[in-house]
Amino acid sequence: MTDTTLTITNCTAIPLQRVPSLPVNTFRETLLELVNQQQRRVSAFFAMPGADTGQGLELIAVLANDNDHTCDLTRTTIQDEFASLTPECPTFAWFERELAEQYSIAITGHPWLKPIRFQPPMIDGAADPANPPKTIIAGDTDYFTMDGEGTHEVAVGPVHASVIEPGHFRFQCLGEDVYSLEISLGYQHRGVEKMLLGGPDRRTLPMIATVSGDSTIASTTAYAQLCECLAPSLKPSPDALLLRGIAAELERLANHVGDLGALAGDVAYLPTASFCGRLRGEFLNMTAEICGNRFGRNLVRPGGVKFALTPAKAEKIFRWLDQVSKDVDNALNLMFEAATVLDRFENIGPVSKTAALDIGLVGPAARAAGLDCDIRFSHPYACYADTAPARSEASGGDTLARALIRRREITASTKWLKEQLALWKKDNQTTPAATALPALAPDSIAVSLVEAWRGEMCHVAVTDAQGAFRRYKIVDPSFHNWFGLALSMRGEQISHFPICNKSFNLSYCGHDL
Amino acid sequence: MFSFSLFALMFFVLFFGAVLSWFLRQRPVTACRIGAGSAILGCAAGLILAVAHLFQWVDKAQFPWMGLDWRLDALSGFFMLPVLLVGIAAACHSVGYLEGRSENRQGVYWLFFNLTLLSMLLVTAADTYVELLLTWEAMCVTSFALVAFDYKEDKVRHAAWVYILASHAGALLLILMFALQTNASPAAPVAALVCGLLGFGMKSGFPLLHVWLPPSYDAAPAPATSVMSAGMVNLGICGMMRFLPPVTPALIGWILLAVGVTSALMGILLAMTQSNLKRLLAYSSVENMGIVFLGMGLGFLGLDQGNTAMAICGIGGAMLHIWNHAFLKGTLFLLAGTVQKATGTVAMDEMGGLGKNMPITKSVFTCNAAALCGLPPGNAFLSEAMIYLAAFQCVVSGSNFMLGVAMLAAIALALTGGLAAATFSKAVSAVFQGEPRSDAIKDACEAPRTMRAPTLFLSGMAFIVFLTAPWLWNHVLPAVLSQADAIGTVLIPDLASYGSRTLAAVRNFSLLTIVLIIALEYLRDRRMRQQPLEYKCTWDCGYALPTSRMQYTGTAFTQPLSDFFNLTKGKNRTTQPPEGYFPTSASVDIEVTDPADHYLWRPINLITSRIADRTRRIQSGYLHIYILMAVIALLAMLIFAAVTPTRVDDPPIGESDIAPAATAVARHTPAP
Amino acid sequence: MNNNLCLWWTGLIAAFLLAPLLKGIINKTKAIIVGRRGPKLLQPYYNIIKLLRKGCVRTTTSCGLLAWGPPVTLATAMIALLFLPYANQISPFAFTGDAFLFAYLLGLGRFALVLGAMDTGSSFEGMGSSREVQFAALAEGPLFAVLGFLAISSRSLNLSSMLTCPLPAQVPTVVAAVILAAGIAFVVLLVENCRVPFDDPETHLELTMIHEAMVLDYSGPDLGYILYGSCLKLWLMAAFVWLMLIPGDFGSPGLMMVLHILGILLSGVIIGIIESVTARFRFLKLPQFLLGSLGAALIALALTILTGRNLP
Repeated sequence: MTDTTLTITNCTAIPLQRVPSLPVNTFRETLLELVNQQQRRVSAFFAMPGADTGQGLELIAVLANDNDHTCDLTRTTIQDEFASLTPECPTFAWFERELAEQYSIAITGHPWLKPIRFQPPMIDGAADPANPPKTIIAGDTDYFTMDGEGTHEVAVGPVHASVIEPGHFRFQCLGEDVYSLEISLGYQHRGVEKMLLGGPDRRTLPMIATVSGDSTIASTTAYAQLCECLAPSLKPSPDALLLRGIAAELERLANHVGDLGALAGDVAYLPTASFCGRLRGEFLNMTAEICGNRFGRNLVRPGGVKFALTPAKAEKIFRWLDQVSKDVDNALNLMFEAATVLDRFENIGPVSKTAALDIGLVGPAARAAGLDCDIRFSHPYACYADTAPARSEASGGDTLARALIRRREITASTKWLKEQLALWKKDNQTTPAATALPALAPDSIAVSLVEAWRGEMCHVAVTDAQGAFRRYKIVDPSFHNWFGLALSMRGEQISHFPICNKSFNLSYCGHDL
Repeated sequence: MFSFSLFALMFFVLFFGAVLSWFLRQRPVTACRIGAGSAILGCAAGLILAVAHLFQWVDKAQFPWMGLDWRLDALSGFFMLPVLLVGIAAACHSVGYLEGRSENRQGVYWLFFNLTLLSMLLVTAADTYVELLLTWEAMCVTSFALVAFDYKEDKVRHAAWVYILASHAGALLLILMFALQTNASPAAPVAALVCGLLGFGMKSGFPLLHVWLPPSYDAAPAPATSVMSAGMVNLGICGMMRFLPPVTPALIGWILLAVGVTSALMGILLAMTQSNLKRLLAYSSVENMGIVFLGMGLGFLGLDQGNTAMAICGIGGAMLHIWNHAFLKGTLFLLAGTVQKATGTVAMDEMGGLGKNMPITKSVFTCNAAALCGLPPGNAFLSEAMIYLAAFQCVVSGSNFMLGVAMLAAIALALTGGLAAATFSKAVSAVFQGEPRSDAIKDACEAPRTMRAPTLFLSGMAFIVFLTAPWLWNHVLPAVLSQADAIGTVLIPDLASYGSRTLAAVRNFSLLTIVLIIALEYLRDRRMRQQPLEYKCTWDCGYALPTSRMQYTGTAFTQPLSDFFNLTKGKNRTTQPPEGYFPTSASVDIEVTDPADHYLWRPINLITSRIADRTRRIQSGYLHIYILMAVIALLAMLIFAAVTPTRVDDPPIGESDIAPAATAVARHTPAP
Repeated sequence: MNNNLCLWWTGLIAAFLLAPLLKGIINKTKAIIVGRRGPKLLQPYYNIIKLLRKGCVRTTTSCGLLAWGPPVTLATAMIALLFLPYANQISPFAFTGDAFLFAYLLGLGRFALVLGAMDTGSSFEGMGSSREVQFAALAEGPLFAVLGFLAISSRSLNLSSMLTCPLPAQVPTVVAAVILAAGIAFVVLLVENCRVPFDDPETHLELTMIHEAMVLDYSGPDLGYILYGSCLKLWLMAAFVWLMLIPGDFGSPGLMMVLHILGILLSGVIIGIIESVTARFRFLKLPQFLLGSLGAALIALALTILTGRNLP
């Protein structure tokens, strides 16, 4: 496939010219062939304006090859129309809706071409006084509706009863039976991608850190890796990479523990809910012990990490972790041994392996369905090439599987963390990275994949002639997985939605950008 | 003389009103005035008659008229009263309901409406089997015409067809019952009893025999349905009380108890799953008749066991429930007609939000619905409480087995009550609450006064029954039951000896509840006057564009219950689920078919028509073949006559032979 | 007699005054078990008082029935309280058959609340009401079976005598039947008051609520009425279960009253413990659970019919 795609490894930058630019038809065929026949996953598929005005739009696809530890890149140029790939390959559905919304591309033949974030176009059109742009109302779209006299809809959100982010869920129901769920997001849209254009500058890192606040370590790591491969002078030390790994696993632990607690809360199982609520805070405090911020906001930066982990601190966290992990174990044992809880989780909201593959699920949700996708192993980055927590597996694809995979990852990560912390004797090797970024390679494209706690997170940067960001694409794991949640509710009881939702626990702001 | 003259007056006013309005059918306004006027006048005359007999202001009267024998007593009065009151209300309501119907249909309506009323009243006054069969048949035919009133609709024609079939099957069974009463063979009384129960039960919605009831109630114009549901279903019981062959209380008790429990549970389950308002009410009639039978069954078993309190509470409660159901259901059907008139539909899933435009209809419907569920402070609770009391009387005396059965009956009644609450909260909420589910009903407006007043009038009657229940119990019901000699209720000692204290207490505490509710309401409103009361939209989760689809439909409301009772699975639910990742169309619909219809009558119908198809082969169309068949038949009869010995001692048929077989016939006095 | 009457009135007043405390005890118990400090014991009182003093927002969709829900549900709970024999003293309002009025009054309160909820035209309230009528309808069976059991073992038809009748505690089958029946009554308590495992009063998830979903659009004094009404209902049912278990009259009247109130408050602790150790059941399992308890109630009934009846 060398003539149609360019194969690179994770965290690599190459000149954009080397990515083959294909005619539209060959481009389509290549993508379909790779995704449908050769098990590539679509990591990113986005558009950007051509280098000069009037050159149309460039479409760039990043396909991950999990067996080869590589990514395939390819691109094409279009004017303002693209024949949809979704009918043949549903995994493109969300990407194409995004294309249509961001660049007003007419995606012909897309079965569900609806707004995805209710965002204004990325390119500012010339103000047309005769034809002012319509005010966009979030959630105003055509929803799929069921026919039949007794059918009705249940509309939940954007404002929810609990303290969660805004999103609109539209159920097609007859009484308790859900026939279909459609999810309409975009209430959290801030225009992150647009604001990142022309960077990197001093705003870039904080902005990246808050793409989705609970995945700060993952997304700052992805950004740092992009910068490091675009500017080879920024080579982080191995210890810095290891500390990134430690922070990432702490983030995973905190969120998984919190999720399991929330799941217990949703089935009114109080002990685990209360314990896990507290224990999640312990993990966050450990992160704060390292860098002063509970979410690790300023730990990872291009070129390394900002804070050193002294052996004394490592020792302290080790003992702390030892204690907390016992509590976690107790709390989780309580839950996973309660018959009433297991009964609530079992066979609820199943996503089949085929469906997970077709729509491109990632992260724990995909692993729960029996898919083997974990960037830490398929595209190793940071310290994971040398050392990584044990792989966790589950099957069944239901809520119980999604809970179990979290539990197993908690066990694996805790064990790995303890090992690493016990070995941590190196002081001051994680010297603070330079505060000023060197110039980035011009006219290049770089891809960085990391395994956030929700799954694969993909950052792609394309630089212009000055080395500034011409396009910065963020694909949050939630972007892949929201449709999985919608599918899992088909034919389910509406009262199971909360636990189904919690078992995915997707990010609204990560999706909405 | 008093009875006779009023009776004749009622007869002539109703009869000539009917005929005259038909003759004047080309002038709808006049026809309507004459029809409604004569119905109301005739019923008013009948009302005086009924009340006089009911309250024993006059003695029971038996008189011949037009070559037939009539009997007027407290029992007639008891069953006449709901027909008359609901008749008056329905006549008034019909005026508004029929407005806008094509010209000559109004005359036709009034012809059959008045005749149906008349024949129903005559049924209650029938003295012997001749009158009963005549009036019964007249009632069937005239009400058939009412059911078939909107004959242009396919659904209506089918319903009318089923109705006339069922009515005639019932009438046939009654003829058979009377015929069997003259037979001396030992099996005859039992056979007669079965025929009688089935024949009368046909009208009163016995389980399995009820299949005609929902479609025809749905098909008939609402005021006519109101009269049928309030009057006609009871006439089966009236007939049983007068004409059933003599039978031990134990037997009839067990039969009625079984029938009652089945009817009540099945009726309410099917009512709950209906999405058609009139069918829902119709199935609820089946349920309420079930409660009546349940009470009677318990009463007769009490009679059998020598448990007086149980007998009194059971039968008294059942009798009280007849009235309660008649007034409440009569009102509800009239209101359903009002709603139908305002919206043009009876499909509850298309309605919604009518309460804001039709406040009076909504309030009256809600009160009546709550009362019919048996919730205090409503009159149906009084009768249900008495029936519970009957069941619980077994704890004092009675066999262990009887006690167990009575407890199960009480539990069944409790379950029925719970399901009834679900059913009627569905009806009220789907029709009157929330936002309109379709554009067609957005402009529905409150009914004219002619349609509102009768419902208020009938509800007022129900409330009067509620207030006077203990008095009725002590003074009216004993007289009524003493006349029902066919089934031996005459054996019941004075009702006043038991139960009226409970009735009074229940009534008083119900009134206390009302007072307390109003007091609490007043206190709250006074408290709230200090701050402005704000009105905002229902919580929509902050979504910008809520629609009326975002509310529960009636079908959805009862979906969990009907799923649990397995009523919406399989054939009853047609699903085309969303296919693929990006479905474009999908649908689901729940249409609960009547299991009795589906599993019993349709197969029978199918088999019958198959046999008929087979036998049609012998109908060759050649005359000589027919002659040959006739010859063969004659020969066969001859041979049969030759081999069977002739009974020489066959007495000549005369009235005196019938007399010992049926007590009802025994009282027959020949025309002077 | 006069003394006993005073005792009964004290019991009634205690019910009106202490009912919110029972909810406070449940919440406190739950908090303690999971290691939190939890809300104050008197928090339900503060909530009710706060709500009664607040303004009120009603929905424009309402056709008027919304406003009737709270007074009806509160009034029915208040009237139903008149029939219980507090501290084993026969209620002065007792009459033959008051048990049925007691059961149906609760039904009326529920009916009014359901219609009030449906009046908002919200799908959440629809969902809550639909569940409420489902479980309530199925709970009628066990409730009446328990009433039947009481009637048989006491051979009387008014609630006061039913609940105060001394039981022959020396007969093991009778004791077994009483415990079984009290267990069923406790299940009915959990259903009627929307407690775990049927409903979770603490949850914030609209899609899984029953009672809380029904009252979503109530505010201010309306909500205060409903809250107080539900406290009374909880007290009522707890008293019912407790009176079933107390075998007859013993000790001084004062002691009886103290025991009575302590027993009811103890049931709050028990409810709190149950809620801490079980998850909610799936909605699809609940009808089966209720039918199961009906079956158990029938066993208790059969036991008393066969053995309890023939005892002196």
